[in-house]
Amino acid sequence: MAEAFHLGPEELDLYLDGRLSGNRTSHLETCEQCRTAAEETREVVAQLRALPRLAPGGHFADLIMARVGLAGAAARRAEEHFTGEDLDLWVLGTLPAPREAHLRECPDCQALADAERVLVMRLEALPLFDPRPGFAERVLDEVDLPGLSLIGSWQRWRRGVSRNPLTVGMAAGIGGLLGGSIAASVAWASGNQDTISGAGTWVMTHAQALFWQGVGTASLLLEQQSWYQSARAGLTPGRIVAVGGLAVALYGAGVLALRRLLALPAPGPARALS
Amino acid sequence: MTDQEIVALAREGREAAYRELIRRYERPVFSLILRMVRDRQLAEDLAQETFIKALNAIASYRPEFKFSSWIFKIANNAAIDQLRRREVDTLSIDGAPNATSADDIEATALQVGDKGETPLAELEARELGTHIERAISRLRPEYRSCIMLRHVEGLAYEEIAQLLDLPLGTVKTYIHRARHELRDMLAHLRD
Ligand SMILES: [Zn+2]
Ligand SMILES: [Zn+2]
Repeated sequence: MAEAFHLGPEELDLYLDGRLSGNRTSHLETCEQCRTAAEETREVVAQLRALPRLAPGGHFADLIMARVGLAGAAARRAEEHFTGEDLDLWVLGTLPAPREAHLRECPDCQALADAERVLVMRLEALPLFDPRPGFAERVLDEVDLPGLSLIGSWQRWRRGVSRNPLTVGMAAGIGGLLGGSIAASVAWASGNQDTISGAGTWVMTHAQALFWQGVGTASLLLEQQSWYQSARAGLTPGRIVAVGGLAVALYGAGVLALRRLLALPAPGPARALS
Repeated sequence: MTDQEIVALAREGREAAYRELIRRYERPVFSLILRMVRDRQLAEDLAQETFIKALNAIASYRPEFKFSSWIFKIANNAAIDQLRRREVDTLSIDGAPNATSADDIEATALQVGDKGETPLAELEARELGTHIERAISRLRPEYRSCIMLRHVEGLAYEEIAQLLDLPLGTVKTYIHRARHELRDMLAHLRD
């Protein structure tokens, strides 16, 4: 039943502190397994204690701060017991000489300093925990990558378009058709003012049918594009409405501008008015 | 690559940069929050919230601060808010409020095992059930975050003061007092 009495981690701590009770210490003397464990722990502890001095790392600023302006104060406090500040310096291994002297003389402060060092060592040895697997995916599901914002998707779309000759052609085609249809409708309207009133209804119905047919074909082509899925992910109803409104406004502005440009000087009556 | 370089890439919308920031900080952030709230599921949710908040606001992150300070600040605020909202502190896990002797603490703390028999609860009890973890959980939340930022995450006093919006002297006092309380609690448990 000897195994039941092996030293636990807490008892190893006590042993390294020199505070293990007599009968437990005698177990240690007879049990090779526990002796090995104790030796290994002592080794680890020694390495941990050496660490801050070798690699100050995040504590470097504290180290400097602690030294600045401390020499004078330390001399004054040579007789005082240790404060939290002194314990910090002791743990960092930068205790000024007068305080070291006090530590050598004062058993209370020695006990305090030892307990503090062991505590800090144990805190620094605390493990880090892992969240459940898939943490990054769960986070990224909820994060708006800048690529999915309006500007980001526009940039991504442009990059995609300029790499794909078919899309470039399609964009040019749509642009040409739009510009052409605007110009044609303006030119035709200015030359056929009379016909418009009569044939207006017929033209409107057919133009509408043609328009929707065009939309259907364009959207089919659109869905085949590689950038379509990513752009679609960034499209919310609000954005669709905004883009749609913008397109209508641009089209209207285009029609108006062209009419201005193509407008012939108005005859007779108009001039008389001016 | 430094955190700052990775943040710059993240701002350009590089998903790989986002993943790298998560990879670097998921364990420290999750551990900080878990030790604050001592509930794995809750800590999981809060850690997720922390990263979502930080990464969605990456455009407004000011690069003159360390990225680590910034994310720890968000994490700590999330944990503190949660503790305030619940006002159910960790005493159910760590023993009755008036448990002062080591025996009392042990006796009341061990009820954890009776309450939740799920493997997760057992794992939690084992993870956070050591003397030192229980002692940490009995510190005031402000002391607890200071002591963990200092000794588990290895931050300098100045950084902690900056990220908690506290004067440097206050942070030092909190940490010294926290260590004092921990020393006393651990000495108590050993005797
Ligand atoms: Zn043994
Ligand atoms: Zn003394």
